[in-house]
Amino acid sequence: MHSWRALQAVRNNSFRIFTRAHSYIATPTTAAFCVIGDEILNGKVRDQNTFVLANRCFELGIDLQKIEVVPDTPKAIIDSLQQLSSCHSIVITSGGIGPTHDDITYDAVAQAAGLQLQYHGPTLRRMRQIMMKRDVKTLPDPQGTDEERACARMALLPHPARIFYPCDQLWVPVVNVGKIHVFPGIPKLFDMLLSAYMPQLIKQMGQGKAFVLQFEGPAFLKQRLVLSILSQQAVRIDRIRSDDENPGLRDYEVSLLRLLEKATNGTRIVISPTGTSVMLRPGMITGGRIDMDCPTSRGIGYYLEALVALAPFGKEQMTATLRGITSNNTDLSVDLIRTATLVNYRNFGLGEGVELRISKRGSAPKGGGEVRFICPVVRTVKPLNFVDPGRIRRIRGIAYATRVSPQSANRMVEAARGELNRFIPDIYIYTDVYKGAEAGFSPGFGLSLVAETTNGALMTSELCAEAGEAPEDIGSNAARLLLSEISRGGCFDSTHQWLALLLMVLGPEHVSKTRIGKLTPFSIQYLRDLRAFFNTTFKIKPDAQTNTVLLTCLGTGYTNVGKKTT
Amino acid sequence: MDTKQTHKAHRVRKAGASVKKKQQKHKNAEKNNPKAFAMQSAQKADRMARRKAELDEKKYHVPMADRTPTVPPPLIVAVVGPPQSGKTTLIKSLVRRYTKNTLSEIRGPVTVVSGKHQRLTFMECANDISAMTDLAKVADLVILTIDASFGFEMETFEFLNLLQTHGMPKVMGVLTHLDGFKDNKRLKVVKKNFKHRFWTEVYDGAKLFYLSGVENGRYLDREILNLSRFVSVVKLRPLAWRSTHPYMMADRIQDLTDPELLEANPKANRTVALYGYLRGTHMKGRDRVHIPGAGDYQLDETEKLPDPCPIPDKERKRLDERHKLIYAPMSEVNGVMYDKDAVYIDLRKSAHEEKAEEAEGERMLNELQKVNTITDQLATQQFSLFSNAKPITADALRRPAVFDESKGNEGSVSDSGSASESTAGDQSSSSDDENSGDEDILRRADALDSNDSDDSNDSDDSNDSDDQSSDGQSSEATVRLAPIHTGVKRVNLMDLVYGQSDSSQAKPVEDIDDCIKSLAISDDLDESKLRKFFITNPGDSEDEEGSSDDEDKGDFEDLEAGSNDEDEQSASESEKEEEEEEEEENEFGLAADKMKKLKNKFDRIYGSDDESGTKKDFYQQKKEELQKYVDDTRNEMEELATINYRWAGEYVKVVINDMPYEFMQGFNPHLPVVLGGIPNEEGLSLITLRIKRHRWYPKILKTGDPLVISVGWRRFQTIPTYFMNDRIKNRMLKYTPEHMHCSAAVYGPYIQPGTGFCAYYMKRAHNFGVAATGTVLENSQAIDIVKKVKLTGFPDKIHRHTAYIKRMFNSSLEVAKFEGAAIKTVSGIRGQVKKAHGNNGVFRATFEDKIKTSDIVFLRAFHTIPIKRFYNPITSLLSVTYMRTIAEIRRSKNLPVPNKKDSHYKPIERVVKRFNPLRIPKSLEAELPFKAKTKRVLTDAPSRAVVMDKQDKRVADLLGQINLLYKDKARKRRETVQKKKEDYAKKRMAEESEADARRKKKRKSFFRREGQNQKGAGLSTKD
Repeated sequence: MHSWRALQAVRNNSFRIFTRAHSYIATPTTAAFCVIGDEILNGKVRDQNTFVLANRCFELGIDLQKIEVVPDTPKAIIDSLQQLSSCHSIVITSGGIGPTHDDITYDAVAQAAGLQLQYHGPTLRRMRQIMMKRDVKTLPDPQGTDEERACARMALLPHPARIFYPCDQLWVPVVNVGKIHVFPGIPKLFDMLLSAYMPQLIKQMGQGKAFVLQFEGPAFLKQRLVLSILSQQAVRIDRIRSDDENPGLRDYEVSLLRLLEKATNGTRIVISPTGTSVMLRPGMITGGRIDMDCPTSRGIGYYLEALVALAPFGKEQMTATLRGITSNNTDLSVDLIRTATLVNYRNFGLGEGVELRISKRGSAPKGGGEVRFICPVVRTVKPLNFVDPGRIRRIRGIAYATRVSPQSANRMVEAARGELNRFIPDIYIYTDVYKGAEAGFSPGFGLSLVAETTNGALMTSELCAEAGEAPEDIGSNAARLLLSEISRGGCFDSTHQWLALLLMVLGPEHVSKTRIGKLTPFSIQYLRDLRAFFNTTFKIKPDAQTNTVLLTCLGTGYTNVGKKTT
Repeated sequence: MDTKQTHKAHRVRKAGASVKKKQQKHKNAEKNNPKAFAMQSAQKADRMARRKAELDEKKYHVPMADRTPTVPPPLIVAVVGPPQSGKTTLIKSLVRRYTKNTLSEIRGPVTVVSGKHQRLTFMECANDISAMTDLAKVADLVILTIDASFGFEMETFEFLNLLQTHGMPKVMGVLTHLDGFKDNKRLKVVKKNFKHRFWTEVYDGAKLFYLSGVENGRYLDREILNLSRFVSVVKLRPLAWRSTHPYMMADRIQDLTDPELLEANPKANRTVALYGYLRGTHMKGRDRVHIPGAGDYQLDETEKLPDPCPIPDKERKRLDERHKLIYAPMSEVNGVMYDKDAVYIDLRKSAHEEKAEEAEGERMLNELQKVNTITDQLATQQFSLFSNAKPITADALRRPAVFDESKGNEGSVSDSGSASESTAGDQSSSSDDENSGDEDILRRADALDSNDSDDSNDSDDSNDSDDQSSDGQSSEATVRLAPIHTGVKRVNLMDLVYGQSDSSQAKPVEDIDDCIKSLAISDDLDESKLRKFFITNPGDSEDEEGSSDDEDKGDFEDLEAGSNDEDEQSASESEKEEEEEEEEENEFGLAADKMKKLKNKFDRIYGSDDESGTKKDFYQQKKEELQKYVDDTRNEMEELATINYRWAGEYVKVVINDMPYEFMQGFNPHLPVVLGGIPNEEGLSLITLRIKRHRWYPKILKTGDPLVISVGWRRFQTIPTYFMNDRIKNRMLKYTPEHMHCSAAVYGPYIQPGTGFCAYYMKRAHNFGVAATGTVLENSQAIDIVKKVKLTGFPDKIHRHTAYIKRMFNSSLEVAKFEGAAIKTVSGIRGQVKKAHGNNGVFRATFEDKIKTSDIVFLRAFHTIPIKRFYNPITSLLSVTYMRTIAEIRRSKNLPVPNKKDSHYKPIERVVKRFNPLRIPKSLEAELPFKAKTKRVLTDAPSRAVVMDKQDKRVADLLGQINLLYKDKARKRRETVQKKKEDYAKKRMAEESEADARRKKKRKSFFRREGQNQKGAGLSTKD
């Protein structure tokens, strides 16, 4: 047990020698680069290979951790190689494999690995062939003249070693001794060989999901990051607003990344200097206490949605306190998350003990709201068989108002009732008026509605007022939004399709089946991403009679491996 | 020759204890003497009831979904035993029994049809711990062969242990080499001993067969027949791991690598096809799998093949001769192999491998095999229709046709996965102008929308806003996306969603920017249409709504309707109306389904008879729930098969690219090749294990010694750190405790908590290989394991409660880290580190009392141990490189074990400290108050000897004699009283027994009378 109290008790009982952050990182692949050559150290040549290599490593998701520049002395090279290969899984060297006497890399590699040098026949042959084609006069010959011998020195390789010729047009080999990969120092050759050699390197990266899923563009960033953590699949997203005049990640996206880092342990996030690409190597979801001030560019709902997907699969119960805008027109409001999203959990056997408490409300633009999200953990999700939505049984809603006249809430309720009363008498819309410190920093009001069917399907709609809008308009528009949502039918409304899809995939190895009204573009992309991350394809069947879509899939048998057994 | 054996008839015993016992036992004891069996003590009865409940409870297992497919895959029968114990002979005999085929050699799995509903796959287990672990993970039934002339061997016990940790399958024992025993009596004893030993190891009553001898290289037919009968009725319980993971034991392996590639580089990675029956759950192309002994791979494709050993399709009374099939591709049974599109002649070696010694015929065949077939030649050829046209290849011709076949579920030609992948030259799919590619789903969706409904304006708007918002202000709330309309027949939704290849992401929807809210109000909010979605719909009539709606409504009414009166009223009114209508109809004698509906309604409201009659308990409910999931899945199987799911029970070919060449080169058919699915089990983490050293392993395990752990499908070497939780912290242990569980932290891939594991050392050093067993407790990224560190220091300078301590730290920086830490002297005086004094590590400390210069001050601290992140999957099928233990390295390099003198245990010699007696100077004492002065108190004088005079002596003598007499008299009196008492007791006893007998007689007669009366009464009432 690593409860906070236990650790505290240890601290009280005695004293620790080393206080250390509790985030170990499980990365299977780390790389180091060793640049060999006096010419770099004395400034005659500018090092270009470092940049190329660092770039390639980032692309592949290899964690380049160290770059050393060493002179052309055997001891320096051997020490460096031994030291680097003891801590890193890939060591790449560049330079020092030419014909001159100070090119001693092969020698040093052999010594570092305890091997002998030997003329490598195939390399010599290749060298001769390609040189002959180019009409080079001095061909390599170990028994020839000094020049010929010097030339042959380039084929004097450590033995035994793995020799690769990644480029057909080049004779230069890439020598692989254990973790060490020897490359030439000439930038052009280095670049060519490295890019051709990369597949080999990926294989060297060993076990685990070494490969990285790649995506482009800022859209669907959140879902990809969340799926990455759930599926333990590293992900890399490029071209994030790279053509924009204000390129890179937005502040809310950075906050989201930070939130994900807080909710997990061992997650590594690398953001490129321009902010236009992100790489995430997922760790484990830990849960526990999370406290965050959300930037006001997005609502709390934006962050909560990520937590809603992750929290049930953590190590321990999540208690997240988020501060910011509680409802706006871009993101799900906390009201809807509380009354619909978290209620939808119960279809998957997750609902028990889940709680969302709204202690303060904050309207756009300044925010100032605060919510607390508590979610216990589960080991597995139940399969879903929810095809018949039933018919609308009742409508509930919450009309909130902050820093405005309490009357506006009542006016919204009146207007919404006017629209909905024709259909069903069982309508109850709560008015939730906040005053003083609990009302946040900005005035605002809005209405969220939830219609529940006989079979427990929830249809939702919500609308927040923007400057100058009248409460009556908001009320009737929200009601009409709800009606249009109802008219689409299905067991999950358009804002909650993603949740159903996700939890169906995370179910046990049984069939899950549901019906939804219309497949939104968002859901379509979600389905594609689910296939990319979980290799799960849905059977999608339109039902022409009801204008709905039947979705069927097999669960992946996801189990929360972080949850402890006794 | 008459070989009929005659048995001695059983002799019934006529005398002796057993006969007596039998006589004593009354048949109807309980009936005749009800009182004797009545409840006598409430406490006892309660205890008994509780015991029974406990026993009943123990019988329950956690309910598990039984996913056994309708046509189950063959049972894997593993034949395991030490070398020369008759494994091969047993398999040969069994195969002969089932198929009348005699195998010359057994290589790899052998599948036979063993009955109308059952097939068996026999696999002989090689004598190697890797093969044993792999086979233990997949075997459904294990036959352990035991050489009776030798006895049990360690392999057998090791294997049983492996089985236990990986979910115990069924085990049967076979005792061979019994023909060596000439003495019948001895044989009997041996059999009995073996049986009992076997029972203690497996379970009481485990089946052990005796195979008495070998005839024609096979065991006796009669005995094999008996064994086969037991095999045919074996019942399997679903095992948790296997029923949640797909797996396959490959019975055939084919190298599909391009021979040209191999000519160029014989060490190139291979493309390998593995064939076998899929078990457990479902599998799909591009799934990740683990091959124990080879590593993790991604499946390139999975393909269903016709079952090579099918169960007869028609129900027959008995198995027909032609259905007794055998399939053993590696053992060359029939030499010919049929694939989907080719016939293979099995030559054991593939063409590119070394051909050291082969017969002439074989060589000729090999050469024949090398020749390209016509289809191959055709495939490579290309021709152009027009002079400047792109040449057409066979591939290009074939592909569309294939897709037409595979789809088949929609009428028109539409976009398919390959179409968008293929180049512009591919024109077959562009006929449909709507499906012009992967660019614009959204636009297409809108087009559909406008086709179908009237909200074209709105969708246009959304398009416009999309275009506008592309300039950076994507987070604006103006993105009002109209959802795609889907109820259109012409477009296949599957293609719409999945049609594009992964690389081309949906660009048009890019501007959604993680916003899932739709703020579009559809214009056609037709009230009459909308009303249908509400329960209050007045136009609700039974012909419009299906019966399911009615039922569903009812489900929720009793739960929730009470919350609102209005609703209830209206609902009940409408219901009443319905009822009335239905009743009227009913009077006219209308349809039976109406009646049924009404009955259902009645049942819902008032509860049906049969439901209340058999109320299901929790366990039953859970089981039914699981069964429902399984049934649901079965119903959907056909639907899902169209997206290339392969189901358990099917014969499947899977292709893996990038298999290391060692896999094919060093392929040994005697080692099982298992392929296990690993859904979400690939990330590396720190795993906490509950571990116990095996009681037969002769040594305790050491922290830091690399250990091989077999868990899930995997076998991997890792460095464990043992620890134990003392309720506050995890203390590191250098060694595992001797007979107790402890925890271990290792680094490895995720594994479900609760999975059993088994650990052994890579290099077998002892008779018994299994070093430890246990279960997985937790996966995490950080485990806090500490070890104790004691820092000692010496007082430099002592004030009253303050002292300066030296030599504990080396610098003031170190001291700064420990400010406030608790310290203690050897004599137990507690203190605290205050502050550094100077820069040489001396610090000021305060104590609760003055310490002495001779005291040693120590600080107890805990240091967090970093856990070694070493994970080395054992690649026994490729080539094995492994980490050695320190002891192994020392042994190989001939290094001595370091021997520190300080670490030796030796008797502690302590100088006895002599304290001088306290002396107070006389002058000082004189000044002390009386209370503090040393006092010389007179004590009682010791008793002195008394010398008596004559008179006194006579008196004393007389008194003594009188006393003696008195004592004697008292003794005699006591004895007589005692005797009298005894006599009286005897007398009483005799009287008592007499009276008892009388009473008994009386009672007996009374009860007899009573009984007769009752009997008479009963008869009379009956009459």
